[in-house]
This record gives sequence, structure tokens and C-alpha cells, in this order.
Amino acid sequence: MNSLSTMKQENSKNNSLIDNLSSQLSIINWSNPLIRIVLLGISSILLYIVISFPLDYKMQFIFGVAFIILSSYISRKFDNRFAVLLVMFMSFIMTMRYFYWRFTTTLEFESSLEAVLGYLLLSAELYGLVIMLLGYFQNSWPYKRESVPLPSDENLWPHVDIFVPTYNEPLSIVKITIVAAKLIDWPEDKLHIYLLDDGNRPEFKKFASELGVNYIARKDNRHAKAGNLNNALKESKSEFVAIFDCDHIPCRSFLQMTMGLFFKDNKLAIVQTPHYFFSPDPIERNLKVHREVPNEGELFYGIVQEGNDLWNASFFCGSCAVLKRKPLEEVGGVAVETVTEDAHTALKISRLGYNLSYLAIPLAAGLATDSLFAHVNQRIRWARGMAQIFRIDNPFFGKGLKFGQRICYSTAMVGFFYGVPRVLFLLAPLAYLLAGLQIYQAFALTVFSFAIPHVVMSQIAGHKIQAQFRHSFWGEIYDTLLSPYVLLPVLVALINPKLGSFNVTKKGGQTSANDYFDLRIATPIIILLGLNIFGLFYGTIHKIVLENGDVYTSLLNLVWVVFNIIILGACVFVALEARELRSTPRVQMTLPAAIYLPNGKTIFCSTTNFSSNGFGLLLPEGCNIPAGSTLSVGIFRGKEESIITAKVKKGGNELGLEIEKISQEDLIKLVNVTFSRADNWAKDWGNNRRASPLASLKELMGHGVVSPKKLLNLRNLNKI
Amino acid sequence: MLKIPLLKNRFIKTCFFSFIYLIPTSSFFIEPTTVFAKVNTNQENEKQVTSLPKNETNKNSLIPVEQRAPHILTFQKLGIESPIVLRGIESEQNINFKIRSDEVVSSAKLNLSFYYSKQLLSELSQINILMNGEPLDAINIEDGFGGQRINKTIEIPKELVSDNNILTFQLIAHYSKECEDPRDSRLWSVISNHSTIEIVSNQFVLQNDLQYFPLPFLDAQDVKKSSVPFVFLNKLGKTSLESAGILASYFGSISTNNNIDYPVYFNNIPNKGNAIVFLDSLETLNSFNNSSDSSNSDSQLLIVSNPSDQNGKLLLVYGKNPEDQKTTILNLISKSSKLSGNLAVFTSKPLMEKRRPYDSPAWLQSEGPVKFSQVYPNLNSLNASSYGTSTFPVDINLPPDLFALTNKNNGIKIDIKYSYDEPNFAKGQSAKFIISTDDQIIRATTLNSSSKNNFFENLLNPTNFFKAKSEENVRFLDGTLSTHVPVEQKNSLLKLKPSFNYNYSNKMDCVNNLMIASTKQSINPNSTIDISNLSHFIKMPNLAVFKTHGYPFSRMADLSDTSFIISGDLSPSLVKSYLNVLGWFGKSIRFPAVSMTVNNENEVDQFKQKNLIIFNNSSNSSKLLNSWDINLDTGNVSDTYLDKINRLFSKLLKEEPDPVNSTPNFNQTDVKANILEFQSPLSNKNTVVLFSFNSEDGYKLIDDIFGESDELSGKVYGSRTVVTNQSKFSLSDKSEYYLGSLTLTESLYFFLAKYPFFFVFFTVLVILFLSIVSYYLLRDLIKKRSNAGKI
Repeated sequence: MNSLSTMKQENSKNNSLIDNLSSQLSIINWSNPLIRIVLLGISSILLYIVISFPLDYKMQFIFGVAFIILSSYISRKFDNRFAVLLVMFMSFIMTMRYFYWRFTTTLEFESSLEAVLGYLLLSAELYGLVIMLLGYFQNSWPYKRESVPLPSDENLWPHVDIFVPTYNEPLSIVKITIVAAKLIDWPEDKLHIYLLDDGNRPEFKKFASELGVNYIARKDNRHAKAGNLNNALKESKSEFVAIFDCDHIPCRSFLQMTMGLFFKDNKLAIVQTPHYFFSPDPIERNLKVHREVPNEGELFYGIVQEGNDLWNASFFCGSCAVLKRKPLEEVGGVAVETVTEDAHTALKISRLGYNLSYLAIPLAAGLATDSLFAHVNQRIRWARGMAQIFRIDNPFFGKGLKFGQRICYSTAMVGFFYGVPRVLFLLAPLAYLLAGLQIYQAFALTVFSFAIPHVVMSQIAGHKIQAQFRHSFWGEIYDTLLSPYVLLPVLVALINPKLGSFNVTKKGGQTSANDYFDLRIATPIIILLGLNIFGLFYGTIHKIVLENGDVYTSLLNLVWVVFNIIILGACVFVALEARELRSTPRVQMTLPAAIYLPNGKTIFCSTTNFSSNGFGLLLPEGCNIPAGSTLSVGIFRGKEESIITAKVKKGGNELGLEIEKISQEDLIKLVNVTFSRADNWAKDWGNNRRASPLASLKELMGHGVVSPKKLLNLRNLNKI
Repeated sequence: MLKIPLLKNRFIKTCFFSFIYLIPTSSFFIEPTTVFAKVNTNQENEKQVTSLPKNETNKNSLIPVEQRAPHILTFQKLGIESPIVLRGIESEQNINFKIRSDEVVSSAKLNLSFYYSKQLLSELSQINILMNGEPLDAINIEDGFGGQRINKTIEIPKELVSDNNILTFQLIAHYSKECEDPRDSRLWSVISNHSTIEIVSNQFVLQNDLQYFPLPFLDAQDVKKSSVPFVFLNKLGKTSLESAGILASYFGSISTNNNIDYPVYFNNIPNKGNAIVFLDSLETLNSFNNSSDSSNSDSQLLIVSNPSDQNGKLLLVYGKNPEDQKTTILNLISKSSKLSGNLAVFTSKPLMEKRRPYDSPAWLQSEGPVKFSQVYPNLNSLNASSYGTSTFPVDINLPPDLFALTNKNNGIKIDIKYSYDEPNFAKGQSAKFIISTDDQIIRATTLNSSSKNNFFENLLNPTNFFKAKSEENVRFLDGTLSTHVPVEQKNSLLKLKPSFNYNYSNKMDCVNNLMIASTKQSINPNSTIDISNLSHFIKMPNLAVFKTHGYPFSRMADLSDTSFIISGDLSPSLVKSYLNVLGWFGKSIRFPAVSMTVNNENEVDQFKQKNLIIFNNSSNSSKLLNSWDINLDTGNVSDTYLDKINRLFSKLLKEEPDPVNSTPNFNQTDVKANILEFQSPLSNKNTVVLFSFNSEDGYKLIDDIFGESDELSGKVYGSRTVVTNQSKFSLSDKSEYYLGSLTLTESLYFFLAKYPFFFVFFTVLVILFLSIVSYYLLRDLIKKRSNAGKI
């Protein structure tokens, strides 16, 4: 105990010392350009020394391990920005040492075939390096924005148009969004809702007029969603425009939370909020890790956007955002040159010197793409679009952008070019195992001593930066799965941005009634997996057992192949589509409810989940209600109660109710207490379980081919 | 009458021989030759003079003496360290041997001892023996004698023997009359290196003429140990010592193989043989020169016969004062090729070109890229024709203090251009070009036909892509390779071995009865080796590099940075050791020590900024050494605490223990001499080497060490070598220091490499620095962001 207290004292002593130091450092005028140049000079020299200092492989290994221990200690023990920076720089130095060594010693090839393959691998590694460095820059200090209160005088609040574009989505989905939009807390005379139906469907028109919202339809579908929005811009006139995809349901407080920012900053053009998905994306669903392992979106909206925001480079993501009409019209409306109109629009607005912002409070929720096929298509579109922007409006060039903005925009775009490097990584070890080609000219132990610290520390740093928003190695699955598909579109778009077609992301459809295996998606992955497995066996037997190769080099390549197999294995199981029972998406939510039985009795219970045409109830223990009866159910939100009549589809203690022929009024009531509740999504935000890189790897392996449980599922293959 | 054969340009070009000359070095074994990168042109001239012209016009200059006892040279003595192995269908090896220029061979014979393979076909195989390119004899292969030791004596006609001789053994071997693999393991013959050449020769006495200098005092090409007596008829002052030392080092610098001993006589002339005589009395001079017109000049250089031995010669170096003697010696060295007659008078010192550091002709020049044509002994050795493998070995002497960081892109830069016969890829052949040194492969590259040139060539003529390669159109392709050879200070002799290696598939067709065709390879003489960008930096004291290179004194080839201090009484043995050390300096630098000085130990001001070599007899108590507090006792050297820690770390990290044995066992009274090296107490950039002699035996032992015999030189290292009758010990008991300088980055790296844990610490500091800076910069940015667009 004593020693503990003295330790604390020492700590506080240290702290005061640090405080002293930091107060002195704060005096320095850090924005003085001269100081910056001097610091840059000193840093470059110091970095050059540390990076280029030659160590033999044993010393390098000791050095690497020392820093792995140090950085994981710092990473566990401290949780502040400074610790993140420390870990980042450690990883940066290890990586740069690796690349310095790679460039200076591993490129002396013996034949031109080896040289060609070797340089290909090197360029793939360089891509990874660039992404890592850009990522470190981008995420160096995520800017945590808070919402700004609106002026108390409601007369000062501006008019807002709400656009809900739709093309082919079913009315059942669009309905809820429109209703939720109508429920947004804003003076009724200043809120103008537009249903933009590119499908030109009469039932949508009817629904709009019933609900009293504006309906705009076009004769043609030129420029798809962008054209749709631009058309609507012409027919509306409010100072601000909020845009929601037809499956993104806004909550009531959306405008209250976002509009304040515009009052604070008159150069502000966009407020973007996260896209929150209450349904799992296909990868989560197929691996059954929804709410367990964070998905791609959570990484983007949890960390990346905030990181971008620091550099004034947060993106407009096409939905769940408020835009100022003036800047939007100055850039000629939503961009139509590329298939990712949202990012391009933000870039254009940015070039005019307007500010962008990102508010990390989920204020709308929607459906994730529901099938792997659609998911892949969506990513292909994004990748293509980003490549198009990179090609026709490269953020590195052109006027109006600050350095940080150029870096962040480029990161977003270059980040989609992972197709080629990823496939190269998946094939590279086979060059040695199958053909005996030394495309990496180095002594295997030296490779270990440089590559292990580099890889491990980038994982530690990645974990430190993304902790609750992305588990280590899971990104590999997303990237690996998509790499064969984005490869070609990106290359095509880079060569000729006009080639290729636009495909709409299909959402809200019904996935198959049975688990089924999506061969369309899985074929390239299965080929890659097959090659790697073949390489593993051939390499083990030919190189190790029959002693035809250098043991260390073979081991190095075998370890690599095994890692590839784990990732590819998980990808194959992603392609095994899980059953989705309901035709409409469902959201888990527990609310107090009361069942008013025909006999006058009331059962107090709670809801379990909601969809647009039904909900689940959990009765108190012992209570059972048979299927088939029609119940009148009151659902409470604070003191408000909405009474809905629904039919019991599934009886018992846990009821499944379906609202047949829901009336306009009931729908509004239901949405009011469910989807449009302001506190719905925020509480789940960023609350994912954290997992250390090692634990994460273990989980990942559980989803690879090594899992017997998964292997059993293989019988489903027969059902195709 | 003497008949002296004129041989040098006589080649009989029979068909058979022209074949041999077209392929001058068959490539299985090429004798490695030590090469000095830049041959001083002066020396070239001198060499021509030293090899005496033996033609009719000069015969008068030769007076026959007596027939010498036959002397026997084993191949081993001629530098063939292992038996000569000849392999393959055709292979040959040369042996060089020399005959003293003032000797003429009267008879010579070759005593061979050899074996050959049992499988050789007697009718097709033989071993040809050639002397200076002319056929001497052929050993016929006889069935039933394969695998047995055979002795054979071959008379060498004396007409075939010249001064520089090349004896060539050439194996022509076949195991089959049909298709053969020219590399077949059955094709071999071994010639023992205990085989001998027995020579009986007549020696001649030269006329008293300076044009033959350094003959008859020294034959630079002799392989036997030579002796050049130095006689001092005048009082020995420091300038006389300088003159004698310069001459001794000159003899060393021009001798190629032999070791020279310099016996010293005070005031008496040896009864027999030659001697160099220093004198300052005109009467004495005239007493030698009874015949002559005695001139009254202050200095003279005169060659006379030894009064007590008509076959001996005396070189009289007369000077009224010692400076005049030195002038004479310097002139003798620089103008030796232009002298004639028995007398020369010099009045002024010759102009000596100022030397630049590290320009010793013994070392690879470090002022820029050096062409291979300067590195290889002869350009023929850059071409080869072979079955399968050809090697182009060369030994290159490097300055001993080269320093390079351990990563690959630092080191000796080598740019090689080469040409080779394209391997026949269609038949599964492949080839590699490999650069290796004695102990490691530096770089290997596969020789492609699909190299850049060919690819573009083929683009221009696309049909080439589809053309099958035929035997006739084998192309001679060019390639280049640049690489860096790591520098190892432990070994400053770079044994560079560029080689070509062809691989053939198992299935081979027969062309001209051979399974594989002979291929040609060559290395362009314009290829370069470059050490100009390397730093010079070395840890001292290091007696090993002193022994092998005379470093650090040899940094200036003329020893202009060096001062010799001889303290105490001058005894003949002491002066002899002094001259032997200078002779050895000349030999290792290959340049005479023309700018060295000798100082008294009290002339501190004159040698303050110089490297010092001190000769001291321990019976003499030297004031200088006493003032420096040099401890000559070699008690047990106790490790300090710090030493122990250092040793532990070096054990943990480098795994190479210090080569110096820390606890030598010997009796203090047995110590005859010490060699010590330490940093000069007068200047931290300079080094002192102290020869301390405890007894008369000590002089002899030191002479033995510097009079060469390589087994002894290996035992000299560290900071101190203790010499006893039985053995030598070396230890490191002096504090270390460094010579040379590094670039800023190199010194930082050097420091960090020496203290690896400091590197970790340094890295942590860098990371902290970067993090703090970026922390505050980012915080600044955050502040700006939150204030953005505030109204």
C-alpha cells in the first residue's frame, strides 16, 4: 500500500513536471511559418537518421521487439491523443525502416521475370505504405464536433427543403421516411418536403398528396440521382436543403441538431451526419457478427469523417446531410460528371472556399444493402466514382484546396484502388512456393526482422486509432472480398472515366428464403483460395518435406499463404448468404407497451422490435396470447401514447404482430414513437465491443475455413 | 666465347601453337596474381634496366666468374601452393620463374612428378610442356599407368631459358572417341608442386658502371633472400641515417619477391661481395679510386671493385657533409635509369613530386574510378574461352583504413561491363554472371537473351520472336552490372572473382564430338572499381595493419609525415634493424621513403606533428619515453570493470570475441623485444610505434619479423607485440583511438553502432520529439477549426 501511495505521489510530481513543460511549449507560436519550417527540417534529419541507420538482422529484431513492447504498453496504458501520436510515429518509423531496407537491399533480381514480379509486389507494398501514411495523417486527430444550439427566436430559423429521391424502391420503405421527415421538429411553414420519384409511379403520387407533401417526377432519368436532385433544386427555393435517401429515416431532432452549425459559421456549406444502419450489411449478416464486430460504415463515420473534419475535408455522403443552397447552386448543383456525385459535389464546394463539417451524432437510420451482390455492386460504383473524380478533378491539383484537404480527398480516392495490390498480395507467395521465383531478394530471417515489427506495429497503431470502430484484420475481409471486383472498374475509370455504366444500389429487396451460396460473387475468391491452398500443400511437401527450398524462405511464404487462406476462407463464407425471413427490415427496440384486451384487461409489456408493418412484443412471464387474434396495442414514448391495431401472426409469450392495412394516421403514430425517436441510434453509436488485435485475429480465424461449425454449413452448397 | 640466346621475339607459329595463342588462358585455372593498381612509370623503366640486356654488344660488360652450384627451385617456392590440377578436355597452367640477370644458365632440367586419370585414351591424350611458348616435351599417356605417380626428368635446352620464364603445362585429354562431355570428371591430371626446376648457371661480373644499378647490389627479381651490406666509414649522424634509410627503402620498393637483409659495418669493408659505402673523407675515397682523375667536388657517387674481392663491387657514396650524401642518394634513386659510367656527381637535390595521401602504388588509387585495365596484370586475362565456367580472379590491395557502413549500398563500387556467348536457351541452357570475393557471393545475375536490347531489337524485327535459335547464330551479348562490395577492415586484400557459370540440361546433343560447345566470355577493360567515395577511418592501435601495410605511416607514400627517432648508442645491430624496417617500408609501400626524417629525441619541436617510429634499447633510459611514462613491463594486464562490461556486451551482440588473448603466459626475463603502438602524446592525430630491444637477440628477432615470413607477421596485432625467443604474443593494453575522419552521418552512425542501446534511446527521443511537435501543431489546428467562420 505504501509503495502504491508513493508511486502516486511520484506520478503527480511527474505530472506537474509535464504540466510545466507543456505550458512552456504552449507559449510557442505554433502557427508561425518559420518555426514550422525549422521543425520540419529538424524532423526530416532526425527521421532520416533513424530510418536509414543500418542494423544487422539480430539487432533489428531486438530493436523491433523493443518497440513492439513499448508501443503496446503505451497503447494499453494511456488513452489520449499524445499516446496515439506516439504509437503512430513508432509504427511510422518501423515501416519506413522496412521500406528503406526493402529499397536498398531486396531489389537485386537475378532474372527479368523475377524483377518484373518483384517490382509489382513492391508497388503493391508501396500502395499499402501510401494508404497507411495518408491514413495516419487523416486520422491524426479526429475533430469531435458538438451540435450548436439554435437561436431562441424561431423567426430567425431558415426555410428548409427536404428531398427524398427514389427510383425503384417499394413504397413500404419510402413511406416511413416521408412520414419521419414530416415529423421533424421544425416550424411547419418553414419545412418543405419533396418526394422525388424518378420511377414516376402513380401510387407514390397518391401517397404524397394524401400526406400533403410535394411530389416531383421527371420524364427522363438523366444523371440518375444527381439529375433528380438538380431537377428538384430548380423547383424549390428554401435557403437550405436536407437530403435523405428514401431508406434513411430521419429522427425528429435532425434539423434541431444540425442547423445550429450554420448559424455559427456563415461559410459553412454542408453538415453531414453518419449513416446509421439498423440492419446488418451482408458481410456482418453472413458471418453473424452484427453488433459484435464493427462494420465498414462505422469505421468511416466513426473515425475517418472526424479525421477529415479536422482538415476541413469531411465528405458529403449523399444522404442524411444539410446543404446550403447558395454554394450548391454556385457549383451548378449536384455533380453529374461522376457516379459518386456526393463526394464530387463536396470537393467542388470545397474548392470554392466553403467549409464542410461533420457531426458525429446519428440522426437518421437506414437499411444496409441486403445482399452481397448488391453490396459488391455498391462498392464497385463507389470505387469507380472515386477513380473518376481522381481522374477528371484530381484533388491534388486545381485551385482552392488547402494541403490537408488535398491529402484527405486523395486518401478517400486512392483508398479505393486496393484491388490490384490486394490481388498481388494474395498471389505473391505462390511465386516462390510454386515456381521457385525469388521475387523478394533477401535472407528470410532478415525479412522477418524487418517485416514483423513493421506489420505488427501498424496493427497496433491501427488498433489504437480505430479501436472501437474497426477490429484489426477485419478490414482485410472487406478489402479482399471486393478486390477482384473493384480492380477492373477502377482501372477502366482511370483510363477513361466515361466508360462503364451506372448501376443503382438495390435495397430493401427480399433475400432468398433459404441460405444460398452466391457463386457469382464467390468464384474469384474461390479460385484465389484454391491457388493458395494448393500452394500451401505443394510448398509444404516440395519445399519443406522434400527439402527443395530454403527452409526459412519457405516458412516465410507458407505463413503468408496461411494468412491468405484465413482471410479468403472468411470471404468464401461471406458469399454464403444467410436467410432473411422478413420482407421488411426490422429494428430492435425496447419500448413500454400496453395490450388492451377486448375484455377490458390491460397487459403491460414491452416491444422487442419494429418494422414498417409490424412489431414484436414480449409479454410478462406466464402470459400467452394465441395467434390469429387482433389486438389494440398502446406504445408509449414518454408520456405520449400511440394506439395501434394489429393482428397476432405469431402467438405465445413473445408475440409477432402485423399491422394489416395501416392507416395514414396509425403509421404516423407508429413512426413517431419508433423510428423518429431522437435517442434511438445515438446510444448504440461507437459502443462496440473493443477487441485487441490478437483477439480479433482469433475471431477472424473462427470464421475461416478452420472453423468446424462453418464447415458443417457447407452442406448448404448443395442447395444452389 | 659466350653465346647468349636472343629469345624474346622468337615465336614459331605452327598451327598447333597458333591455336594455343588464340586461346591464351584456358580458363579452368587462372593463377591469381597480386596486382598493384598503378604501376609507377619510373619503375617500369628501372625494371627494364635491371633486366640486363644479354646481347652481343653488351658482352664486354660481362666477365665470367665461376659456375655456381646448381640450385633447385621447387614449384612450391615459385608460388604454386597446391598441386597443379588440370581438368577437362583442354586446360593449362603457367608457372613463372626468373633467372638473376647477371647469371646465364648453362644447363637446366625439369624433375616432374605427376599422375593422370586411368580413363584417358592413350592415343588421343597427352600433356604438353612448353617453355616460353615453345614446345619442350610432351608426356604421352600410356595405358596401365593411370592413377600412378610417375617421375620424369626433362632437359631444358639452355637456349629456351631467359630472365623471365613461363613454363606451361597443357593437358589434352579424351576419354572417348565419340561424344564427350568436355567437363567430364574422368579428364584430369595432377602435377605435384614438389616437382623441381634444377638450374646450373654461370655468374658474371659486371663492369663498374652505374647504368646497371641496382645491379649488382640487388637483383629486384630474385626469389632468394638478398643481402645488401651498408658500410659507414664516416661518423653516423641523423642525416647519414636518413640517406642510408632512403636507399634501403628504395631497394625494398623495387624488389618484387625477395627479402633483403641489410648487414651494417662500421669502419670496415666486408672481405667478400658487394657493399654500399658511405664516406666523408676524400682521402679514403681516393684510396679506392686509385685509377682515376679525382675530382674535387663535395660529393661523388662511385662504383669500384671491392679491394679484397675482385668479384665484389662497392658503391661509394661520398659527401663532404652528410647533406651531400643525401643529395647523392636522392639523385641516385630518381635518376638511376639515366646514369652511366663509374662516376656521377650531383650538386643539387632532384625535384621530388609532392605525394598526396593514399597514393601509394601498393594500393588501389582512391581518387576516382580505376579501370580494370589498370587492375588486371594483363589484358589477356580478361578474355576466356571455356566449357561451363570461367573465372577472372584478381587480388586488389586496398588502403587498410577504408570505412563503410554495413548496409549494402555502401562499399567499393564496381561497374563491370562484360560480354558473353549467349547460352542456348532453347536447349535448356542457362548462364549466370557472378561476382564473388573470397568468402561471399556479392551479386549474381542471370544472363538473359531477353535482355532489354534484344527485346527492342526483336520489336523492330518481330519475326525474330518466332525464329528458332540455331547453332550458327549464337550471339555475343553485352551486359553490365553495378554493385557494391562491402568493406571489411580486417581484410584489406580484396580477392575479387568475377565469373561466368553456364548450366546445361541433362540431355545434350553432340556437335563436333562434344556435348557442349566452348563459349567465350570477356570482361571489358574499361570496367571500373571505385573507392573514392569511401571514408578513411580506423580504430587504433593496430599493429596488424602496421605490419601488413605500414599504416598509418604509409598514408604518405614518401613517409613525409614520419620521423624516426633512434635513442641511445648506435650499434651496428640497431642500425641494421633500422635499415631492415625501412627496407620493409619500401617493400610494403612500393615507394622509397624519400621524405622521411631522422630526429634526436630532444628535437621535440621538429617531430611534434609527425608520426614517430622510435628505436630504443631498454638499457638506455630515454628521456622522451620517461616523460611519456611508457611502461615497458608486460605484467599481467588486468581488466577494468568497464572492460569487462564491454566484453560482455560484445559477446552478447557480436559473438566475435576480441582476437587478442588477454592473459599471456611468459617469463618477463625471456622478453627480448617489444613493439608498441600508441597515440602520440604530442598530437592526437599521430601515432608512435616503439621498437624496444632488451638484448642483442631482440634485434635479430625484429629483423626476422620484418624480414618477412608470413607465419610471423600474423602474430603481430593489437597495441603491443611481445617478442621472446620462442614465440610472440600480442595484446591490447593501450587505450584506443581513431585515425581518419568520417562524414557527419557516418560519425553519427558509427557512434550509434558502437552503442546500440543508445540507438534505441535515440529513436525514443526522436519519436517523442516528433510526437510533441505534431501534438502542438494539431492542437493549434483544432483551435483554428473550432473558431472557423465565427461571426
